[in-house]
This record gives sequence, C-alpha cells and structure tokens, in this order.
Amino acid sequence: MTNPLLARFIPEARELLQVSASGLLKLERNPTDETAINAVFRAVHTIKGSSGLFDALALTRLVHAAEDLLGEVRSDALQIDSALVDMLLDSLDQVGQWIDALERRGALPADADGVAHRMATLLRERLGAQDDGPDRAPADGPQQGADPAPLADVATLPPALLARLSAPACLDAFRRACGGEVVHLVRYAPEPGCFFSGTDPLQAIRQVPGALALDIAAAEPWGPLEAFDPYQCNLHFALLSAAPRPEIEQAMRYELDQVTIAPVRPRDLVRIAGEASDGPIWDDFREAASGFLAAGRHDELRQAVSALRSVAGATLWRRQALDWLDAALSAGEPDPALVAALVAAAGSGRLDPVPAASALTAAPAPAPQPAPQATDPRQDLARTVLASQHRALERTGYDADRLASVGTVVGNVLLSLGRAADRAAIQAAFEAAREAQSVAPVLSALSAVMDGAPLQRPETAPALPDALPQAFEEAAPAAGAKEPEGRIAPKSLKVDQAKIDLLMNLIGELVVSKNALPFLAKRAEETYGSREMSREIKEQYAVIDRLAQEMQGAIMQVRMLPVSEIFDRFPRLVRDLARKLGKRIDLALEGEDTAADKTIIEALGDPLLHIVRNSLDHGIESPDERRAAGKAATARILLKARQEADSVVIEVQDNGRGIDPARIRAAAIAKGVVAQEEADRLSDQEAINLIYRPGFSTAAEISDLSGRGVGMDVVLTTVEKLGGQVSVSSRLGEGTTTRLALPLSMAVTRIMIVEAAGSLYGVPMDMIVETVRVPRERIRMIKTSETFVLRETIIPLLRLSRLLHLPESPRGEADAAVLVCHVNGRRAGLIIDNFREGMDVILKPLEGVLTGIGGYAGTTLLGDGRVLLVLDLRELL
Amino acid sequence: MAIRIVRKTVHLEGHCTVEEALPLLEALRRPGAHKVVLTQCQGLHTAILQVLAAARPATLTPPADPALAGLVMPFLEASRQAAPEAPGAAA
Repeated sequence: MTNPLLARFIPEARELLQVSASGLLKLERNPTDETAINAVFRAVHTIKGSSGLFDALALTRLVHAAEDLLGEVRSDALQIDSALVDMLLDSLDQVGQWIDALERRGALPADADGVAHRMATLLRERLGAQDDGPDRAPADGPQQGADPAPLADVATLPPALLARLSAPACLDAFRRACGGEVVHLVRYAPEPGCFFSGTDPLQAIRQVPGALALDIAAAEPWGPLEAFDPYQCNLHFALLSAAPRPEIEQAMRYELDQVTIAPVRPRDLVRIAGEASDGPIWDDFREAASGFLAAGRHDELRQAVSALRSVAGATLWRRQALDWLDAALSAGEPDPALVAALVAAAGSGRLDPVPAASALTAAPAPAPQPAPQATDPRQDLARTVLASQHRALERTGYDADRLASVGTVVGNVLLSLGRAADRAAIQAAFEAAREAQSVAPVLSALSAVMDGAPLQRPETAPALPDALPQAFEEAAPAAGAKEPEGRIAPKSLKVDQAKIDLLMNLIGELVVSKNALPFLAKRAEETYGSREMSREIKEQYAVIDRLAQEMQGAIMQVRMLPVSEIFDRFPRLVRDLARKLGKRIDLALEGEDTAADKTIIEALGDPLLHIVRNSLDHGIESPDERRAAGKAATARILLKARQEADSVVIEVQDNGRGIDPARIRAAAIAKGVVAQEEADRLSDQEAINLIYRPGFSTAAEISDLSGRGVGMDVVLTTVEKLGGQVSVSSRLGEGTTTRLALPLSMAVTRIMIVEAAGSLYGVPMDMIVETVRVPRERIRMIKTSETFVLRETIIPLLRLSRLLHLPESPRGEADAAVLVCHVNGRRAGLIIDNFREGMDVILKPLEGVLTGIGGYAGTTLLGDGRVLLVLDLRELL
Repeated sequence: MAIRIVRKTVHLEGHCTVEEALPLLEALRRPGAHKVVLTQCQGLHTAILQVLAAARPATLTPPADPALAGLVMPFLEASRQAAPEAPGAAA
C-alpha cells in the first residue's frame, strides 16, 4: 500500500465504522436519540466523502445508499427499527471487509460491484417502501444511467496492435462480442508530462474493470539512451475491456481527455496464426459447411465444426480458424457474413476481409494475414513417412509381417516426435488389426494421426501470456500464497492521544522537579558548607536540563505535522468534484510546510473538506455564468496556511459568486433557524454567519457533495472545540474567504500570571486582548457597574478578587491594572492587583473532589513547587 | 529503497516509484551488459517500465507476481527483441 492517502483513510474509516456501529446500536435501543443519529450520519457521510478519493466505486455506492437511508431517518421521514439496523450493520460490515481488502491489496474484491449493487438495492427498497413522496432517487449518474454506447462510433484495431495482443485473449473478447456483449477498445495516450502531475498511466489503465487484453507500446521510437528522458511518458496503452462504458469512464475519470473508448466489432478481433495445412478433410468441410450455411442450418454447422475441431491439430492455422468459427457460432444469432468469412477461411486456409454488407458500418475490416509460419521439418518428414506407410498398407492389404514392420516404423516416428500417447493408441490399433486380420483399424488410426489428432510439438507448446486475462481478474490469489491473509502489521504506530499527553505531562513534571536542583545546590553550599557537592549537583543539573529540553522538543516534534498532510488530498478532490459539477477550477496551495500539532491537523481535515466542498458547490459558478459576469471561466480556490504568533491560520479563498446575505436570510427563515424579525435585525455580516447555525442548508437538492446540512455548523463546533475561531467574509459577486485560526499546539498553554488578593493566578493568553493601566479617575460608574472607555468603546470592569470572593486589598490612588479580555464574543476588563510574567505551562484539569469547582480551567506547577490555579474566564464572567 | 544495484545487476523490489526511474536509467546507461531482476517487484511506475523498455537490458528476470508479469513482460520482451527502431505505435 503505497498511497499515503489510502493509508490514512483505512484507519480513519475503521474508526468511523466503529462509531457508526455503536451509534446504530444506541439508536436501536432509543430510536429518537438525535445525538446518535447525527453521529452515525456524520460518520457515514465522511466515509462516503473520503472514499470518493479512491478507486472504490462499489464502496462509495453502498455507503451512499446507507447515507440516504440515514438521511431519511434523521429527518424523521423513516422510522428506524431492528430490521433496518440489521441491514445497516450488515452494510457496514461489508464496508469493513472491503476496507480490509483495500489494505491488503489496494483494491476491492472482484465481486464488490455486484455485492454493492445488491445491498444498495435492498437499502433503497427500504427507502421507497416508506417514502411515498416524490421520487427520491439520488442524483448520481453512473449508478443508474447505464447509457448504451453509441454504436455508430466503433473502433477499428490496427493490424499491428491486433498482432501484439495475445490470441487467447482476443478469442475470449471475440466470443463475448459475438455473444452480444459490448467489448470496448480503450486507447490511452497519456500526456508526455503526466508524471509530473502524479499520474501513473500503467496504474490508471490497470484500474479499468473487465480487462481482457492489454497492449503497451512506445509512442515514439526509443532514441539513444543518452538522450532519453525518463520523465517524459512515451508509452501508449490499448486495452480490450468487457466492462460497460460508464465503468470504464469511471475508472479513467481523471484521464478522459487522453482516452478514447469505442466498442469493437467482433470481426475486427479475428486474429488467426498457425501452421498451414492441407488435406481432403478441409475441402469436405468447406463444402459441407457452405451448404449448412446457405441453408441457415447453424446447429449442423456447429456439429461439423466441433467434429473437425476434435481431430485437427491445435497449432494448425485452419484449426484455429475453426476455433473462431466456433466462437462466432456460439452466439444466439450468428452474424452470417462473419460466419461465412470464417467458413471460407477454414476451407481455404486464408482469411479474406469480412464483407461489410451485413454488419454495423462500412469500412472493411483490416484482415490480419496469418503469419507464414515455418513448419517443423521433422513434422513434414514424419507426415511423409506416415503417408507412405499408409499407402503401402492400403495397397498390400493384410499381411502380418508387413504390419509388424509398419508398426515399428510408425512407433519410432511417433517416439521421435515425443508423442507417447499417440504411439500407444497406434499400437492398440495394430493389436486390433492383428486380431481382426484386417488393416482397417491401422489405416483409420494412421489417417487420424496424420490429419486430425494433435500433430503437436510438445516442446514448443505455447505457454504464451494466456495468464493475462485471468491475471487481471484475480490479481490477488496468486500473491495470496506469499501474503498471509491476516492484517498486515502497519509500519506507522498508532498511539492513543492520551499516551502522548501523558508523556507530555511527565516531561513537564520532570522540568519542574529539575528546577529544584539549583535550590538543592544552594542548600548544599550554604547549609552543609560543601562547595564541591554544590558544584557536582550543578553539573548534573546541566546534563539533566539539556536532556529534558531535548526530550520536550522531541515529544513536541512527534505531535507536529505539516498542513500538507491535509492539503494533499485536495487537488484530486477538487479536480474530481469540479469535473462532476462541470466547473473549471484552479486550486492553489500556499504554505503547506506550516506545521501544527497533530490533533489540530487531524481535526482540521473534515472542516476544511466541508468548506472546500461548499465553495465548489455553492460558491463557484459554472463557466458560462462566470463569463456572463465578466470573470475568467476558470475559478480559483486558494488554500493558504501560515503561522500567526501562536496560532496557525488557514484560509480558503474562492473568487466565486460570494454569499448573498438576502438569500441566507430567506433560507434561514425557511428552515426555521431564525425568526423573521430576528433575521431583519441582522447585519449582512451577521446574516452570513447564519450559515454556521445547526440545520442550515441552502441547497435545494441533495447531491453527494454537500447540502445535507451537516456542513458549516460542524466546522464551527470542531474548530471551537480545538480552541480556534472561524470567520467568513464575502463580497457578493467577488468571492468568499473562510478563515480558520487554531492554536499551534494543544499540549502547551500560554498563560499570563496575574496577582489578585495576594495570590497568583494564571489567565490563558488567548483570552487576553490587551493589558492597560487605567487611572482611578477614568473609571466611571454606570448604575452599579464600573466601566471605562478604551478607544471610544465602553468596557465593563469586573474585579477579579470579587469574582473569586476574596478580600480586596485597597490600592489607594494607584492606577488600576486592567486585563482586557475577549470572552464569549464580548470584551470585559478585569481589574487585578498586578501583572506578572507570561509562561508556557502544561495544564492539568482539576480532578477528584475538585472537579465540581467552577471558574478554573486547571492547575499547573510553578518552578518553585507552588501550585498555580489557571482561571477559566468563560465561566467566571 | 526499491532499487538495489549490485555491480551489473539491478534489483527492483517492492513498489518502484517514479523517483527510482532516474537512478535506474543511470545504472543502465553505464557501459556493459546489464541484468535486471524483477523477481521481488510488486508494482512499478510507468516511468520505470519505459526505462526498462528503452534501455533493453541484456537479461531480464520477470516478476514473481504472475499478474504483474503478465502485464509488463510481453511488452518488455517485445521491446528487447525489437531492433533499434522500436515497435511502431499506432497513432
């Protein structure tokens, strides 16, 4: 498994499956549990979204069906019951198995499409049974729209290409084509520079389902090796596939510009090679077969063909023609022109172009001429010897001595050809002849050997790439022998977040206890009067200090990841979605190297996905609309990451149509998110912020992109949970920018130490807007509240000592130290006794009996061993 | 590392990515008869495939994986047997 995205998807999907399964079980017990249904729905929605990145169409389909069903349950249109839960759990189990398959061999099992179809149909039946409303069929084309390929547009195979394909594979394709299946020729000429865009054409063409035969050829002759550029793709591919056109297109969806797909006429597949042969048997056949053909007696023709096939040598050209004829006749309604041409071929030993009269279009098929194959000289010699023996016996009739000598000759000839089985048969015939006192058995056996029975050369029996078609279909089983069926041990270690946190806490404690050593050194010198001891302690301290710092750095490093981890999945996603939506989008990434804590990076994936999808779906206009608005037809989405002080900022900019506040208001009212009068009061910016309310969605129809209302409120919740902020700014007609700001690291909290009522307290730095000293006379009373004016804004003042119910220490006429904080969306000033330094701490939550005490975010240790309480201003104010 | 070079023998093992095309080409550009062993190879990028086709190493051991061998060996064998002018590709 080399695809890093897939490597990430697999554990993620397993986790989501787990979430869905436990949520479903909860739902079964309590069908009205909204949290559970939302959790299940979100998990399934995310699996569906992410799985679209991989060639796992079947998986996506099945999950999509499950999601539709869950969507109905969520909107109360469908009652959940045990049977439904069973079905959904079965589907999830199936998805789980496919995930295992993806992990083991990077592809779904061959039967996945069928299984997905059956299970999805069952799920959708359930959907239809209770939903009598308008047709709810989802709007995804490939699933249902199996549009038959336009027949007028057929492919012809150039003879050179045909000659390179393996004969058995061609015959297989031919048989299918004659039987009414549409065999497609997929020709794929990758762009020379495609490697640079991450395309692997070989991999791409291998993904095409129903592959029968593959040909690879150089587009330009290979030049001298010195001038060869390995990064310019010089290969062209041609593939015969029995899959329906939509599936081929699905598999090649990223390369459709470089691919031509066209059905192949059966007659263009005919490829006969073999040794020339002659004999009355063939003339007889031609006469009989022509008769049957003229009379339309296909059954008798079939019998004649199979009779002759059973006796003629497999390597003979004419025998091979019979194979093709047999395949052509195996169809329910054989094409008369094709059959006639093959009958003539078997009769005459060469293939004439099939007259185009009967079939689809004109354009005579390029008839491959049989390669004139040199016959083995020993074969000719053997034939001559056997023929002369045959003649001699015929002439002389039964003669025991003669028969014995003929027997020896024939036996030796067959022995030299390595045909022990035929030799045994001939000797049996000689035995019979001796018993019957007649040459007849020997004569018939000899003619059979000469004309029909396999005059083959075992040493050259072709073991050519027969394996190819099967190899495509069952790529795994052969490899399975080497590969244990169990789960592969993953190379990367998945560690529970809590364990890393524990490490982080331990190192924090180590730093604190290490800081006690200088005190000890001082005591050693002052109390015990040992300078030497003191110096040694200091030396040890230096070593421990360095190690502790390195360790802290290393642990932080473990948790830091570049944002490219999440950005990487977007180019393909955007391209895919843009194609689906018929929009043209240029995606730009900036600042992929910006690193942030793993928790942050991982948690950012889904919100970003939702934002980008929203941009694509709602923000970006279709090319025509853009041109009409005087913009470039190709829209631009910019994903930008940068570090700003202690936070990582990610912006998603698009130059689409922007958000229309009026439309948002209307939609919000329609969905019952806000009341009419509330909506009227909102400013445009506030109206735009409505998109973050739960349940909000403007999409009129459900697509598999977005519009199910799980979007933006999830973004907001996720980001806020991480201690970050989301803001949207939009100009109608010009575009939208969504800005996510998140702390760089969650393990270390930056706090400011403040003094109040004689004690020290910590205040998280991200809440502090600024610190000011306010002269007493500027503090005004409004009713009973103290306030002051900061840059023309009234800021309410609160005294920390009062909030904590501590005695106040009057400070006389000195200026008040005010901490201006941003809490719950508004500003407030906190009067404290004094400001102290800022520091990085590892915050420990209050535990045990202290859990219930409000107003504190947690505690941390100071260097001298004192415990510092860190305030939670959200609760206090 | 998917490419391992022992004197004149190049071993391609595991999944050979596009990055390995250049080292492979450089190894095969050196004068002399080269041997390329694909036995342990489980997958190769198109770029690797075309380097093998263009360089025509003196001997080529097919991959043990029959699916992969069936896919690439007919082409590589044809390229190796072709005269300096490559098999004409149809447009």
